[in-house]
Amino acid sequence: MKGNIIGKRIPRIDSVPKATGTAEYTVDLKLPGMIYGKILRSPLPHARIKSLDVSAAEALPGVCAVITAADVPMGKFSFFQWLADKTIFSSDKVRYVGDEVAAVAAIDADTAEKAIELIQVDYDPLPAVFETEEAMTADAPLIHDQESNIGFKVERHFGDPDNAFESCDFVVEGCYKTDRVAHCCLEVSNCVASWTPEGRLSIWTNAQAPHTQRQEVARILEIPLQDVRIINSHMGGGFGSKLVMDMKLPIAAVLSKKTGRPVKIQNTRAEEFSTAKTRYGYTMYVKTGAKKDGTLQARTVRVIADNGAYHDKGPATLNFSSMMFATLYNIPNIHYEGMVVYTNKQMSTAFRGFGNPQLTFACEVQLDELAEKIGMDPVEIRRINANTPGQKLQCGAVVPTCGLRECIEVAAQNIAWKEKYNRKDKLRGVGVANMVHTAAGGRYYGYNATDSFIKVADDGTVSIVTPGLEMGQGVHTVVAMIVAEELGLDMKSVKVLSNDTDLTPYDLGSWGSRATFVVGNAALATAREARVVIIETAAKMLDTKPEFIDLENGMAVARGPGMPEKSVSMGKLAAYAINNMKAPISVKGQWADDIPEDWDIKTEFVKNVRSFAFATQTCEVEIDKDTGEVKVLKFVAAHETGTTMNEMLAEGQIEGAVMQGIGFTLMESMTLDNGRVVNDGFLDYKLPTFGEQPEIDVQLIETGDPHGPYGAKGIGEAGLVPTAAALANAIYNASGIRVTELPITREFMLNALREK
Amino acid sequence: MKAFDYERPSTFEDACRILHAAGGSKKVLAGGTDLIVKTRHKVMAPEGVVSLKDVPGLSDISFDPEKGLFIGPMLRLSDVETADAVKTQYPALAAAVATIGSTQVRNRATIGGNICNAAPSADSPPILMAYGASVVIGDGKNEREVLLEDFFTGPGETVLRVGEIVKQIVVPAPPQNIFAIYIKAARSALDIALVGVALLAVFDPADRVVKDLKVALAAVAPTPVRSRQMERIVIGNKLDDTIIEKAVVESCTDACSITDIRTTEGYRDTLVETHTRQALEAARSWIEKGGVL
Repeated sequence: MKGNIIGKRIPRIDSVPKATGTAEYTVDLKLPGMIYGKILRSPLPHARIKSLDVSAAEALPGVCAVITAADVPMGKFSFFQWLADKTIFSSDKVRYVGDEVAAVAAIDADTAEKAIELIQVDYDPLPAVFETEEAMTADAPLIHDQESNIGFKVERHFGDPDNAFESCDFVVEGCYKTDRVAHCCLEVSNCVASWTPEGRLSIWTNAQAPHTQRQEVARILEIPLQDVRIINSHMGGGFGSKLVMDMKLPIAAVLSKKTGRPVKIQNTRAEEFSTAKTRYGYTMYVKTGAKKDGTLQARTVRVIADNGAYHDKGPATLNFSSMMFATLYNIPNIHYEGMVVYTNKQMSTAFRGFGNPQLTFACEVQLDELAEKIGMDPVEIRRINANTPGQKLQCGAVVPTCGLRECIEVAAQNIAWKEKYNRKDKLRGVGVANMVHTAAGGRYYGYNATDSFIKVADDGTVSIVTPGLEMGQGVHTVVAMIVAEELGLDMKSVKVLSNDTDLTPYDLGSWGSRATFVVGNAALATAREARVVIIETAAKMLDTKPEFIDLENGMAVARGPGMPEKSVSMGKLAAYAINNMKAPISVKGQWADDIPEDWDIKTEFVKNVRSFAFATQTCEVEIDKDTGEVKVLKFVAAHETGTTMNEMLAEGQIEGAVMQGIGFTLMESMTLDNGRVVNDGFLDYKLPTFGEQPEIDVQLIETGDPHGPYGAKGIGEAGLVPTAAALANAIYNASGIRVTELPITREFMLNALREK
Repeated sequence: MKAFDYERPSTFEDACRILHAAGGSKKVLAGGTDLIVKTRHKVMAPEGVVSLKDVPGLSDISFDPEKGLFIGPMLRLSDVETADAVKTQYPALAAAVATIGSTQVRNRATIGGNICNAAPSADSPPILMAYGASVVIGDGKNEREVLLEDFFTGPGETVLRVGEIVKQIVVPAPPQNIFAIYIKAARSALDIALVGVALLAVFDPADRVVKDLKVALAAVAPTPVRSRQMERIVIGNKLDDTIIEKAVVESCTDACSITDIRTTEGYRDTLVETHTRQALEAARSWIEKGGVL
């Protein structure tokens, strides 16, 4: 769709403050009287706390408060409360290097740091376990008081995979592994808490889901929800790491209550790498079977996910990857078994794609192995098995629109697949991978709805109050575009307000590629309500009928048969409504997902997803035979957008995601020494930069969507889902080396080349 | 971060006196890209820092065709990289400096800091050693000149005595008919060296014999090291396949690579061989074409 605004290349509304450095992030916040908190963290991966002495810290001049487990509510907490396993502070034992033990607040950050060093903790070290499959053995040390270290299990099953494999012409089996990688937000996790004497707790923080974090803070502190307020500002990256409340929120809150002053706690970069959580590392045993014509018949997988020391988004991650596993191709026989396993490491959490990048790596690499066994071109096997629009899949999912075949065509063509595949020249090769991802978040809460409000000021400026949480993805720009489109305004005339749970309607936050879909739909409904009121007002002012009024260029224009054209500016119109009609223009709009009432999550689990977006990525690599360096020469990322709301934002999202995928595939890894992250800075945690950026040819395939605003699908996560598989397949095409474990480092490649 | 004193003397003598009086507890502050980061990470805890910002003349750079290049230690890396004399007379130095850190770091860090920090992985020392550079050291009263290859004594350690400051870096005028190159191996585009290979060959254009060769390596020993065993094999010979192979075999002889969190000893040695071969091949190609690309 091309409107006046929608579909245009519109610069984001926060681009100038961000590019010039004037945008203020939570990390920049300084409140009058604010003091600084610091958390004492466990130096050991697994140990009993024998004793704790804070007297020397308390005696240090400048220290305002020292708190331990004795000072805070000690009910167990988790994102899924039925899996609650973590207290604010550890009182009996610590379970990873970084576990919270105590905290101080002091007049400045240096004093707080000094005070932390004065706290004496006597630990009794316990045996620790760091690998999931080791943690599952009978004699592994138990991290929590339960029978085994397996924390949660999920199974999905349909058809009869065992029998189906029997009748397959070709079957491939393998084990694939992905590493735990860090989100690497440029703005570290931080907060300022102010608990005022009247009992109101305000927390300024960089949260992707302020309303659910507000509930989490109230829950863990055992206080009424109404007493908690979460305030956001510009946010320096989220990627899933800032969905669930960090313990520094309740800790800063209790320090503030104790001292009567606002308390700031901010991670150092080393703390961020050690405690801000990671992507779930997956170990995946996958088996796929096909007929000799290439049609997929059966697929099974056993996923062992590395939980770290406590529960977080594990069930959501395992469930989501199971849905995408069952939806990418229409495979009639599926078995999915997933589990999260405790280890003595920092917690894992959501990370762009919720387990889908991990499992897509395994499945799409295995599909290449299968194609080779059959003797089929990797592009061809994907084309044969691609879903089509309107298709109802064996797993129960319905894909009303599906652009996968177009994605495959353009991705293959733009990488020059026919000329470059199997060229066996100079260690160069091409690779392909498909993916499916939610285009609309998920319905896991059993509730998926939100509101927004619009008011028109007497100068004609339109303000929209939206819960859309801007974390860099551009949702505020999209909301402003929708309002401007509907009300015939330019972008400057629309203001977006969204920073405070006291102000914004309830919403589940920015995750799962849902913001444009959910918040955008609410903005669209609200703008359309506003349009009706504005047109009715204009009709009165211009003495005509509403059907003759149009909104364009900031004006209400009346055009009708046999009447002279008349117009009035939005400012005059709003002032008229206020002064003459005694009816200031303000409206509310709402969007609610029509979740089926008879829906059973176990059997119809794919209905968790309202809309799907498909994509194909291809790439070309060249491997340096002397150093093992994999040079990424080009990426083609063909993604289904439904309707492209804003090409600039869509391209930016996908380019950034491909780069994140390149890091995930070739570079990023946490190096541990007895559970301690040793590469806890950007010097040794390697992240791709401009220096690694290949040409990324982003192709946006517009297929529409029956539910998205203007037919748009969410695209926030999709860009990195197939990247690792496309790269690994290109590496195989270039070198004959089949890589099944990430990251694929230069040293690994060189050794593999030499062994060949 | 632990609090420290900050002093900014306006003469070289004052700076030396402050450092001397502090008996080693104060550190020279140049660009601060290592000192401040290390202090913040509690790797260092100086009582005070002595900024050389106000000491005149320490950021000068000049070139004399006879005497060579004179660089003030406070010259920022980005200024070294872009100085005309460096670009035209010592292009391999410009190229090596361009591989250090990020643009932002090079806009802040100094050449003197990159040397005196004495990181085994530093990129400028090996190529400066290949060019035969030395440093002029002053203590406020006396001066001494030390060849760069004799300057380093260990990781973070140099021959500098308490109260001494590097005053100038001197690079001899490049002889006629040379080829110089710095090759850096890293994990990504923005990284410190896993291995650095600097090579400078002086050749006779008539018979193509290498008359002199200096090879210095980064990140494979406690200090930057000369690869002398290899140099001896090449000097006096033409660069042919046999000599290059012989040289490559000896390329690690003077190195003692270790395994650390960045990579393994084995991969480091492989990289030394690989990049030494590349450097020698580049030299051969240059010489065969009579000193043009």
